[in-house]
This record gives sequence, structure tokens and C-alpha cells, in this order.
Amino acid sequence: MKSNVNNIFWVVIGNPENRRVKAFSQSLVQWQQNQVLVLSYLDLISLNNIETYLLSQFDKVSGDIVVRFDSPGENEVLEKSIINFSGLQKKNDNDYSHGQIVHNSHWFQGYSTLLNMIGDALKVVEKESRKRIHFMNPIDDILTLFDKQTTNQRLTSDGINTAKLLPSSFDFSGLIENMLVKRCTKVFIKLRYGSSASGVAAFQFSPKRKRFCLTSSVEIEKIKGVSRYFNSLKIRKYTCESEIAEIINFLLGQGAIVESWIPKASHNNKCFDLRVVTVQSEPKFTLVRQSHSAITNLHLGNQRALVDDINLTVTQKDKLYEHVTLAANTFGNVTTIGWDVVLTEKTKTPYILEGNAFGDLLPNLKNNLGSTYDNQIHAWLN
Amino acid sequence: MTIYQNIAEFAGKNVVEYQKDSSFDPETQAVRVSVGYDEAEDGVTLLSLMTELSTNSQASDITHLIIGTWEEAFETTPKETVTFLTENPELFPALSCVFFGEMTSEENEMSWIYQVDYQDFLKSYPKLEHFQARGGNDLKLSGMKSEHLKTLIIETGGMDESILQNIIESELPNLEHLELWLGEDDYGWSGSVVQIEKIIAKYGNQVSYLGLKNSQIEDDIAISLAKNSDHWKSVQVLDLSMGNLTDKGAEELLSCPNINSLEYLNLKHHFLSDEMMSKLKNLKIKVNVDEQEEVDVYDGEEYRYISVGE
Repeated sequence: MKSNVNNIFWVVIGNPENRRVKAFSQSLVQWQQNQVLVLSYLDLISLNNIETYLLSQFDKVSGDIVVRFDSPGENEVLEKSIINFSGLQKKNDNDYSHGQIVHNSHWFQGYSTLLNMIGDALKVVEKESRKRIHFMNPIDDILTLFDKQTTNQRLTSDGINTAKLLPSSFDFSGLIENMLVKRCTKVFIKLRYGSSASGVAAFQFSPKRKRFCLTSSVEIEKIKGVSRYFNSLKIRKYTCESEIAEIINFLLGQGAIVESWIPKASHNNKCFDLRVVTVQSEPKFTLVRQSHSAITNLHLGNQRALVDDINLTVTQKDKLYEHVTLAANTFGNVTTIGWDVVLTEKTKTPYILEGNAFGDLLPNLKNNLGSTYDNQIHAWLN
Repeated sequence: MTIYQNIAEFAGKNVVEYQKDSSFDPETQAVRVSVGYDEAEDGVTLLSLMTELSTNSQASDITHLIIGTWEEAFETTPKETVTFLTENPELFPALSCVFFGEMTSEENEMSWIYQVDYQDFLKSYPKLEHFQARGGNDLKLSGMKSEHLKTLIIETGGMDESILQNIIESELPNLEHLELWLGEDDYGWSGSVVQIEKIIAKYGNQVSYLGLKNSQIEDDIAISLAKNSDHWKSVQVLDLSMGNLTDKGAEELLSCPNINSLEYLNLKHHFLSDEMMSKLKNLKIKVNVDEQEEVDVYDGEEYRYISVGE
């Protein structure tokens, strides 16, 4: 995947107004890369003919083309366009609000279609313009990483420690039955195609006392008997069975995975998990996310810390990074992945829960090469 | 404030996690035995670890033992291990301080821990000085009778009245530290003020530390203490922390002469007003009024949550 060092034409496909695209573009400038084209998902999705457009854009390009897909997130208009793009959406079913969890699998279908269309167009461009096109993150891999079920299966089959998935359940009572059969009464329920903490719930159930507890940032809003579900910025604890059943039925209906809840290690009276960013399969950055609840995502008021703050032994650290490297090697063609890793309390054994295709946004974290973006650019230039 | 960390120190000794083939120093260290998530997946049980530990050449010198999380702690108890210890006291002849169920809320919420009957265990170790248990479900402490026990700590998210009854009926003439996390009725609290008063009357003129904490009736407890001020003259540290204490209870405490002779009054996690907090701070003793909590209003009802209610 090496290219001609001095002559790369960079193509960034993302939301141009977004801080991710801006930060990556700034890093390119710092590495003296001045052939840069930023393409907007929103522009591309509304084009009748992507090929013609791309051909015109790449007309005067010299050197190899390196394409980076960035996150399509944090843009409501795009989100709706992607959902509509799936073709699965009923006409005029656009009546949903900011933060509302809707049409999760339709969104994924729409995003797959969009990426594949862009990919096909780039193939044509490659052929017609006789330019080599490289992908920092190949489309197949992005789509696999967006699919928590496939990712889990891939990690499992490669012998990497990950959470056990429970068989799929259709509703709350089916889930309880599965949990009893599998003797697994603490689980995480996650939207299959979700990103960050969207539609994530930690659920536990005591068979002896028929007691339930669900921890989640999902909130129900009831208007005239109709329930809508939102991602809020507050983590809530639900203990009422009917309310819990309602949320779980909704999440399962959207398409969700259910995985065993691996108790997280703790430090300073907070439990924590890790975000480890690999660049070309090497762990480069580690961020500790500390929380007073089972959900550690930083935008939910949790704290970040550095890996040196949590007193791991050298052996424990080695084991962690060896394992993350193994996981990254199963996605060897992806320049960067942000891994969510849990360490167990007693043995600090690492479990790789998810890989995030767009998990490289770690503001203010730098190593000797610079930010996560600098590290990726450096990898392509060397 | 849910518990998110294992203790690093236990009854004056630093905690070391027992690992096969690793060494520890019983003279300075408390030994913690627990089953990790990955170990449980591999079939390791608490009993298998304890059996293994008992064959360690240093086992007979262990004074401080902590039992952490066990396999499938959300639905099983440490029964086999407690029975093993009960039936083989000669394996741990130096044991003086024990803590059963020392687990974090990630591992298992306090109110979801299932305990056992410790009557026979306590009989097998008559020289025990410190007994501590986390989790109140099915916990039984009947027939507690010891000349040696100095510290008794029971942590629950909701204490059953039978445990309070066990304490009322116990005979612990040298008890110095009595700490009860009483909890709330959603999670099993079924005791009464009458029982609390009996406990105060029984041990209040004997112990130097009295903790009646993490309670949903913290005001009533404060009122009882004020009403029965003759019954707790020996108390130097009064701990009513983690509960739902309001100005109503604090006012009673302030009117009680015992307060001024305390060394330390711990009210951390409370619902006191700013004025009341400054009144308390003006006392000539050490007072902790950290963690002023806010009342939750939901559907027009006010909720004052205690610290560990889950």
C-alpha cells in the first residue's frame, strides 16, 4: 500500500464542516501535502452521476490517489439522506427529531449503498484516468466494523478475546429466556449498527428475585400514547420491569446484538475501559475512559485518563497491546482503527469489544509523531 | 456512590490478590481470593482457589482473609467455601479478620449479592476479631457469641430485620466497632426504629464507633439517638453517612449533649441545608458534611436517594 511519497493526491470524503475533516486537513498541511480534495457525503449522495463528477475532479491530478473515508456522523441532514438512500424507507417517513433513535438498519443499508456507489465510481475513475487509487480504509472493512455482529464473529474466529454473543432474541421475554439458558444474567444490548453510545444499554436480571436493572442513555418520550426513543446525554438507571421491557423491545426491534457484560476493571473508585488506536496494526494511542456507571463513553460526562494513570504492570500492558495488535491484524488493510477494550478486574485480561472505523478522534492526544492523523499520514508517506 | 473499587487495605494490612504460585507475606498483607471473569469462564471456582490456597505453606499464617467475587455471583452464594472453612479451621489457624463478598458494583451490585448463614463459621473461628460481609440477601448471623470480636461490619443495600434481630441477640462483650449499612426497602430493608433503638441500647455504651448508615430512615435514627442519649455514652465516632439525613434529623442531633463529646461526626452524603451545614461545622468536633445531595423530583414526588441503594 505504499505510494510515491512526494506525490500523493489526498481525497477526504466526509462532512467538510466537521472537526474531524478539518483536523485531518490541517495535519496534511503540516506534512506539506498540498494536493487535497475534500468531498462532501452530502454532495455525493445528491449527485446523479458520481463517476462524471469524480472524473472531472481528478482530471489534472498527478501521482497516486489516497482516499480516506471519514465519519458521516454529526450531520442531521446527511443522516436523513442516508436513511432515505436505503430505498427501504416509506415515503415521507421523515418525521423524526434530533437525537431520536430511528431506522438503524435502514441507515446502515443506505450508508453501504452510498459507500459502494462511491467505490464503484472510483474504480471507473481508476481505469479511465490510469491513476492508482489506494484506500486508507477499504469500504468492506468499514462496513464490517460498523456491524457489531460481523466484527464479533470475525474476532472470535481469529481467536481474539471478545464478548460472547447471545443468540438473537425477538423481544424481552425471548431475551430473558436466552439469558437463563446461557446462564448469562448480565448483558449489554447494543444496536447492531450503532456508533458510540447510541442505543446502548447495560441490562441485568436476577432470576431468584425477578429483579431487573437497565442502565442506559436511552430515554423514552411518550406523546399521546406513542413512544419515541432518544439518546440523551444522561445515563439513567431503570428498575421498572415494564419500562425496561419497552426499551429492550424497541432496541431488539431496531436490530441489536446482545453480548455478555464483562465486568470492567476499576481505578480510583471508577471503572474504566480503554480506547486503543492502532495505526497500521500497531497500537499508537491509548485513552482510559473512567465512569461511575457501566457506560463509559466520554460524551456522557465520563472522565478520560492516560494509561500510565491506571498502574498496569509491564506484563499486563504487553498482554493488552499484543492482543490489540492481533485484532488489528485481522483488519490489516485499514490504516487506523479505534478499539474498545475492556480489562477484567483481577487478571487485567484484555477483551476486544469493538473496532471503530472512525475511532481516531482523540483531541489533544499526541505521541512523538503528533496526533492520530499525523501518525496516519506519516504511515502513508513512509 | 456505588462501589467501584476493591479495597486496598483491610483492617490495617495491605491487600494482595492471591495468585497461584505467587508469594505473599501474611504478616503485613491481607490475602484476597476472588474468581476473575476469565477464570470463571475457564471453570475456576472460589472453592477450587481456596482449596489451593489452603495447601500453600503460608496458609497457616494468614490472619486477614478477603473473599471477593465468586463464580456466577449474581445467582450463587459462597456456601461451599464457607462450609470448607467451617469444617477445616485447622487449615487457617491464625485467621482473625475476614470479609466475605468484597466485590465491586461492576462485578455485582451490593443488593444482588447472595450470602449465607455464618453461624457455624463463626463457631469454628472463635478468636475472630473482625467480621465483615457485603450483601444482605439470605445473610444470617444467628447465635453470634464471642469474647474476641471487636469489629462487625455488615454492608447491605437493604437489611432484613432478621439481621438486626441477630445483632440484638448477639453477645459480643468486646465489640468496639459496629457498622451497619441499612439500605432501603426496595432492596430489602425491613427493620424498624424499635430494633435500631435496641441495638443502640445494647452496644451504645460499649462501642467507640457506631455506624448506622446508608439508611432511608436516617432522620428517625438521629431522633432515636437524641432521645436515647444515655445509651451511647462511649461512642467517639458516630457515622450516619451515606443516608438521607435532612435538617429535621440534624436539629435533633444538635440538641443532643453527646454530640459535643464525639471525636468525629460523619454525615457525608446528606440532604442538609446550607444553614444546617454551617451550624454543624461550628461544632467543636470534627464533622464531615461533604456530598450535599439534591432532592430528585419526579411526578411531583420528592426522592432523597441514599448512597448505595442498588
